[in-house]
Amino acid sequence: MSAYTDPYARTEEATHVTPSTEFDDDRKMRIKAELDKVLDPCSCMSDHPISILDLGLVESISVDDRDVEITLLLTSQRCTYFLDINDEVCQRVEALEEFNSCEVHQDTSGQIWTNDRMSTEQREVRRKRFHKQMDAAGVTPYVERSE
Amino acid sequence: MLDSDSLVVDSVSHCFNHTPENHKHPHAQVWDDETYEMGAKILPEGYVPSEEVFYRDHQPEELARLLFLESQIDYSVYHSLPLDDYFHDGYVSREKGFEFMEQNPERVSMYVDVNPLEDDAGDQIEEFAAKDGVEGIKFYPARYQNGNDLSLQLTEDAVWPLLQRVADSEVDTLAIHKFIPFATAPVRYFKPDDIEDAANSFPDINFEIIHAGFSFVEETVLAMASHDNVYANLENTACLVNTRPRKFAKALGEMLYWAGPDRIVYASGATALHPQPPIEGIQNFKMPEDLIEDYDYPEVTQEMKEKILGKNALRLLDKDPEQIKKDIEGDKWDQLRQERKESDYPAEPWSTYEAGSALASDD
Repeated sequence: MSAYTDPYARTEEATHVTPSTEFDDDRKMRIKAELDKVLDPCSCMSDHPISILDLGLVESISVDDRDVEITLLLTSQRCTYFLDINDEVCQRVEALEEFNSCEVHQDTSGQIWTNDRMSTEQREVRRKRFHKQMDAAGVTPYVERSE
Repeated sequence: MLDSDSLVVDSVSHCFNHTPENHKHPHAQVWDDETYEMGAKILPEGYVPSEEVFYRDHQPEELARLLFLESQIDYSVYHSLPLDDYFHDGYVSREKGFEFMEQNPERVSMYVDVNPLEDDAGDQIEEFAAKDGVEGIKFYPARYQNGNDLSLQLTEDAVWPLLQRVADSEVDTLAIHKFIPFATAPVRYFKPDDIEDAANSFPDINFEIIHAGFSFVEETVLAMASHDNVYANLENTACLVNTRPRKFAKALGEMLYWAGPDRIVYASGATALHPQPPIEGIQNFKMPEDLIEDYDYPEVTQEMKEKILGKNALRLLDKDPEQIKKDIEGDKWDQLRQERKESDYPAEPWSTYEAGSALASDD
């Protein structure tokens, strides 16, 4: 297999906010940088914490004068950590001097989170980890064994 | 049967009971509706049942006509379900399974559900495993009890000792629902991590993971590649071959690349789904060139397709394909197929459910 190629990588351009999303508005870039510091609580319980931005939870960032609205698409509509994520996002965004308020909404469009929303970098890290697990388990791919 | 004369074996069939009288929990209606909607999403046009057909207490005779007259399936493994926390009869009753098997002894085996939290669960395993035609035990990874979703993953204290009872019993396969979460149970219960521990500690049990490929594909292939006693059962996943072909190709490609073609089994999921489209889809399936080039997935050969559609399941059931062919030759279903071969076999989707239909009156 091509070195750590990820069959589940996104093949179409993302419509949500990813680490590589560029905004003309510098203020949105600063908000994005803050969101990259907010870690997904569930991933913190594993050995591999990643940010809500890397995980693909940030659907949109909108700025109206000094007020910010952020929409998140959670991995589950019943995510019990939404309040914790909400609090940390607001705390970080409101700490930026150009904003007065921040509101966080859940995406209710009906779309669901799928793992191809993760950032390309984090998907590569994940795929490398998968291959390492296979190596650690002493697994030789069947196609190589049968050649 | 395939054109190549290879048997088609369905590794999961059910007689669902989708009637309101069967509901025991407020989420039961949602469960019914979501099952219907899943079929509407993953079956090709023309194969989605009408609501009139779907929302009923499906009977063994209806299941038999659906499998043996509307599809190429020659042999089926009926799974009863232990969901009596949501449905009065468990959703797919044992009684109907035994009836289905009695009516079609040469064409049906059964995996019997057991609720690990019942005091006599171990004795139930021993008792059911000793019955003729029973080839496996079926578990679910979660249960709603006393207002909570309890984990029934194989590594739980309440479940683990029962694996020894399965190992000591007359069956050697344990099937467990995974990958498709339900109700309010946490998603982690549906990951296959516990299967690895169990497969490692109980090498004489075959662990058949139901709905493999639907999600957690990497975790699944890790379990399959590192344990020869882990099987991927494609119930529901097989339908993706027609309606989500890239997702299906990647899941199958990962399984074939890492674990090979010998432990993957087709399942219909009937009566919730129509059995025929995935059989045709798998027969016509070709691994996309770009996936072969980019990920080294193998070409899917006719030999692999025959394994997935029947040969692997028969090996798992310890059945001789030639003996099965002899046993079913000239039986009621074979005769009906032969009569209809020119014009009406496989019969139109769900046509055998129609009141007064020619096929229904053949019983």
